[in-house]
Amino acid sequence: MTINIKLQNFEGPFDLLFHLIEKNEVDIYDIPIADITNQYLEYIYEMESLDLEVASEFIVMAATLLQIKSKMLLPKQKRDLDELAADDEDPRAELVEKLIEYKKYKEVSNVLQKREDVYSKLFYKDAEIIDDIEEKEIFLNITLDDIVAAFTDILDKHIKDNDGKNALEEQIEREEFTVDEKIDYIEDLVKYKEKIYFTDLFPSDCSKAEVIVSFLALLELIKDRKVKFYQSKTFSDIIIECL
Amino acid sequence: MDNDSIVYKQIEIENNEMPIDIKEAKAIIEALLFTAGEALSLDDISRVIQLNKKSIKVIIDEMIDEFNLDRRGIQIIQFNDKYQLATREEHAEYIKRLLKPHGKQSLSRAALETIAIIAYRQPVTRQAIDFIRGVKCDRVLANLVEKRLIKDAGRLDSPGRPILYETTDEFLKYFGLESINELPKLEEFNEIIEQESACSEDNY
Repeated sequence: MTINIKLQNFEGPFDLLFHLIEKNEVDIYDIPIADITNQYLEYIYEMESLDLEVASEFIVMAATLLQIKSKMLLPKQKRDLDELAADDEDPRAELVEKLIEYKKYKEVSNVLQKREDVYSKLFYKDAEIIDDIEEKEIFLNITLDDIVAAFTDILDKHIKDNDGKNALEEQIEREEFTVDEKIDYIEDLVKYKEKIYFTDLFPSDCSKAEVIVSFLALLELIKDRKVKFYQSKTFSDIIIECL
Repeated sequence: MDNDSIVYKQIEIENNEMPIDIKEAKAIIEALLFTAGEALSLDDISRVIQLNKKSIKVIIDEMIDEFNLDRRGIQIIQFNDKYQLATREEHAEYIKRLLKPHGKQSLSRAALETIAIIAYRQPVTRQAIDFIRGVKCDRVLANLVEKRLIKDAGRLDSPGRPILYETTDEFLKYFGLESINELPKLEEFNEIIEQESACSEDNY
């Protein structure tokens, strides 16, 4: 049987098999394995002769078909396939099952494609981008430099107030407080007081470590957009508000 | 009218400070859907209007019917209990003339088959999909994830801990489904396949 194979681009071995099954108008529940296997192999050879790379899945399927074909050729007591002995399985069964399973999903994909055609014609409005506004509110009139300057002032003031006592620690003490604790502390404080000054966060008798941890906590809260802060005018104290 | 009394009764039970009438509620919901742009859930709306979800669903169902009856240019679509404003497909032509949008690329056959498998078998691994289709579907999966039609839904507790895939709300919206259950049952396709095979037998 000569087959005029127009080299269709089959995406996978099942595609090719379906093509052959349809082309030969074969009953999927009773595939003439020998015929189909031969045609399948002819296709593979054709591809290779044209120097087209044949994906490994095709080769695996070829091997499977050959295996099934050979099983079918083995002499059996009953070759009448209408009555299969209880322990005599149709060697094609597993393949047919897989083909049918795949066919079902192919049918579904047809249904989906029709729906896609219809519903791709609907238009929607994108979500409003509200983030921009928030961002402006958080950093009114403040640059990072302002924050750093304010912080440096506090440290200096702190050192001055303590007569340089806590400036240099001979022993590095364990940190008694964590950033997480300070985050909670500042959040609570801001919620309770609604509006606090940057300087309120640092009572003057706290250690330098505590000041730094507080500052880090504040930065975290800003990053998570839990607080907003601003200056009413340049160099004035920074106000922190609940968001 | 019966409908109204149900809603009003529910408002009383809720003990709202400001009982609003239905027309007002509908207008507010329309405004919310418009400004949100993206889909809103019953939770979202109920949080804003302070009406219970059952009432809101009743109201929105009415709105959907009204919009359809009046042939409004906008319809309310629903998927997975979320609602969104959308245009109608019959007006697509005009909208395209106005917007000249990038041609929406439709999905390839491979993508459709893959997503069909995921829709019915979710959560499902890449390997399971490969097995059914007889080909590797890595690229297709990446494409579908990028289009947000499927998502990573955890990992299977087996060697290699492969990723499990599920369809998303976007998937429902893309194919105009209100829920996953709207998909036809797979058994229906058994019949189609058997009919086809019967035909080929006759041809023999």
